[in-house]
Amino acid sequence: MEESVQVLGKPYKRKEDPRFIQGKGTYLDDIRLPNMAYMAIVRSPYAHARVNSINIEAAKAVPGVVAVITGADLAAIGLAWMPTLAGDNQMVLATGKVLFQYQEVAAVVADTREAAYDGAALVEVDYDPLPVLVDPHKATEPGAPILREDREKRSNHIWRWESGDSLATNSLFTDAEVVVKQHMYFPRCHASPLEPCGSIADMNKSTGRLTLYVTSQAPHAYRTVLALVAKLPEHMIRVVSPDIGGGFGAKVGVYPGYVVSVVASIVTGRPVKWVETRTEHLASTAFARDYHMTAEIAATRDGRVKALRVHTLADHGAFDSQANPTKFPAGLFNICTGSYAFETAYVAVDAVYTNKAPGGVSYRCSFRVTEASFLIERAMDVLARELDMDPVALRKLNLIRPEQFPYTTPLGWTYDSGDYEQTMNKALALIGYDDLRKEQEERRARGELMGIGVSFFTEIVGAGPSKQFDILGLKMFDSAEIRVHPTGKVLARFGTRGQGQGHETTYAQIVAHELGLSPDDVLVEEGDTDTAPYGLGTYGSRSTPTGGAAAAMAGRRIREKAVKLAAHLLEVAPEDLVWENARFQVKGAPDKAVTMKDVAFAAYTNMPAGLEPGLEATYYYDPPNLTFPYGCYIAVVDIDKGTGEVKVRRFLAVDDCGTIINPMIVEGQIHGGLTEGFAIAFMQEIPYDSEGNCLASNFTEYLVPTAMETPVWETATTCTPSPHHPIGAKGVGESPNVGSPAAFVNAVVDALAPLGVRHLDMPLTRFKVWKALREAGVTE
Amino acid sequence: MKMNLNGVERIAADLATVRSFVTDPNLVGRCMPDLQDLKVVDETHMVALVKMGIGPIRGTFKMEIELMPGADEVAMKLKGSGMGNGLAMTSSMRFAVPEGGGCDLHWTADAAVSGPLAGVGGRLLEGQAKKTTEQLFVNIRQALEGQKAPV
Repeated sequence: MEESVQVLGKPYKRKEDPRFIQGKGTYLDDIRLPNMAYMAIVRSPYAHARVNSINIEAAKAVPGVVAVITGADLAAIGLAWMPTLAGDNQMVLATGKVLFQYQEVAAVVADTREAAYDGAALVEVDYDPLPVLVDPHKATEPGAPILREDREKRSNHIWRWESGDSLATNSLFTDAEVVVKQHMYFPRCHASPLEPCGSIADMNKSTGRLTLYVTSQAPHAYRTVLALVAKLPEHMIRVVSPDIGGGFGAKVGVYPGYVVSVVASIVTGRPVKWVETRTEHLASTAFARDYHMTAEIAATRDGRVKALRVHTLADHGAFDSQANPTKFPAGLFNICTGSYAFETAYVAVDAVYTNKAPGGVSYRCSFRVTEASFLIERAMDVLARELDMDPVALRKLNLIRPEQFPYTTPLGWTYDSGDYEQTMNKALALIGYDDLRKEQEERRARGELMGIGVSFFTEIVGAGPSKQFDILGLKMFDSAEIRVHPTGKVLARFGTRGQGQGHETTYAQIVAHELGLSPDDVLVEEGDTDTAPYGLGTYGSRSTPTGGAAAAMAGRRIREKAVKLAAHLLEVAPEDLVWENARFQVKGAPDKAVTMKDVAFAAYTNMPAGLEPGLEATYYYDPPNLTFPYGCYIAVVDIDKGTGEVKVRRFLAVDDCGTIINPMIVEGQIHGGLTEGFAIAFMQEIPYDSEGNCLASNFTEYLVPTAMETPVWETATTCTPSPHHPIGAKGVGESPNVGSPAAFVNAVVDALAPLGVRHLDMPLTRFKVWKALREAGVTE
Repeated sequence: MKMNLNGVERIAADLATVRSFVTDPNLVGRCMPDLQDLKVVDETHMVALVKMGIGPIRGTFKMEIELMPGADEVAMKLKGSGMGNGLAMTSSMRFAVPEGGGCDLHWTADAAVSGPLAGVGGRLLEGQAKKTTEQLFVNIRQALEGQKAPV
């Protein structure tokens, strides 16, 4: 008898890693098709300019150039504009004018990549520069240049979104004992995965079939959008998303380059590859954040929070090309009441156009959750300061209590499960909070700057449910298809698309758990719309909450059929069997049992009369609710008064993501996300000068932390399973990016508090901290 | 990136000579630093090809230049493009006779640079642009003084 296998919660090594660490992954740029041509894009040097004319003669004369495509060519076939996933329209190639620097103006297709770039350099575009709008605060001022001439609304204001009860909130503010108000800017940053975006379009004219290889986090959605926009029959489109070298939200949206490569393939009759450069990626592919936020909290003098009021100005650049669900133009920003029991709240977001690259995507967070979490966690520290309370004591006083779950927030979300104080206490004990505060007191007495920053975030991940969530009308469920082969080995396919998260292992563990097999017996496939069941893709930490749930449910469907086969093999009635120790065993006679492997063989070789042969199941999972992972993060920093350098001495992340499928993968996700959060807090910003020049278009200006800068991460977990997920799991990939920036900033501001500093905007570069020290009168 | 530059060149030539020099596209055009080619379109318009570069971005710029002689000053409008960059400059030149003769050429230049040059070369651009612009007026002086043929 085989030993029963417990596969959930085990740190299985990642099945995908042997190919990745040997450099044997197949990324988009590794794919070379016969007779393939290459495409380069001509981009605008101006942030706002009229395009008078485009001369392509010199480009066409370059040896090897086979086609030059302009906006006029696309306009002739109705493709000069495309819809964004946020329901706005975006220019594919400029017609009339350009609206941001590095905007796509023309494309050159050639036999080689070099010839394509040579040709692109010779496309002559005659521009007339127009007044540039860079500051979003000036977007709606009288006299501001109107950027979008295609819209009926003659204004740079895109939309206003409100959530909550403004009257009740205002009334609590009027009567409040204490009110704090803090403006904070979450800078424009960029996910900037190692692999930039790209596509290969292959229109086979003899079959009429289009294959699009593309760096996409959501290949099925691309197929449907392509069918609708390009008016191609959907069954004649195959979208393949190969291995993806990181996405983090940057590969959700559809970019002009993808569309132009399709046109280029149709025009030339050849496969056409387009891969953007790092500069193109940073300067034109969707940015993240860029939220100018004002938070106000009304509270009692003894520290009970009553109401939260938030106004945000969202800078979307030239086009609103977020990938947000239709009903949520500001994403799930109204998760901003966080982990605290507010009586009421009100949030308003105004979105505007500026002459900057379009966006903004959700960088490793479920639709604007990082901004929301940063807002509330900074605001709680500002309140603690105002009340002269310890920030931990203030948080503890206001945390949602375990008995309040499922808890409905004043802004309408229903948190599934949590024991916040337990997680907080674990973090405080692990970091030695009380001792750190004592040490801080001693150091302050010596004039040293040490800070402790706490963040207690609540994430919201796993969209659907379909009743609330859709992308361009496509409901947000996800899917799994499980095929059990005669020898008990499994092929499992998913509608999601991993980008390095370890899906091939995590999903294999879930399937193996449900079927009583080893993860080694399960091969996971994603990314090919010809074979995978329809799904909405991977972003917003939705894969385990939706795809993982679909895997569990499909596995259970397999078991429903398998029990009939098992009964046939054991010559008992199905009702006489129980699924225990990963086997079907006869009730009361555990020795009489068969495994899934036995059953699988019977499904093809020895099925009972009347039972359909084979053993496979598909499940489309529409979640009943989102999942709400949370965590307590604590940063300890020391600041050099002379240089402004912040040293992160310790960082502890205690995460609760419900049932853990693979603790090693979870820890890896936390490490990666914390490193990104660290970069956002201390290094990264995409600024623009007054002419709309992008000033962080490469890695000498837009910094990515190496092992040298990255702090040592300490991690721990607690577990409150989600009642709204078949195995109790919640998403986790984004928690560290959502939760950590506030912990870093709170720590730095805490260190500077004795000097009177109340808030500093990210990124907390040495220069910014040094300046704050000088402004506070520090001279050493 | 926007820049406002100005300077004075004291030239050993009389005002009328200086003025007539800077309003002649054939003469002033040849004073463009790193000039590769000059095409004079008419008496107030010319197209110059100049070499430019900062850090990794190097190549040829095509400049469309318009001269606008006025009563007190000579204005010059310049629109350039190259390697995916855009450059716009307006310059004005005024003339004064200093004590002891000759001519002071007072110049101002407002320049705006768009494109990778401003983004990638941003930190170096200001110094380079200042140097190049100043060189234009140094070249004018040297040509007028016959020290050096314009290049």
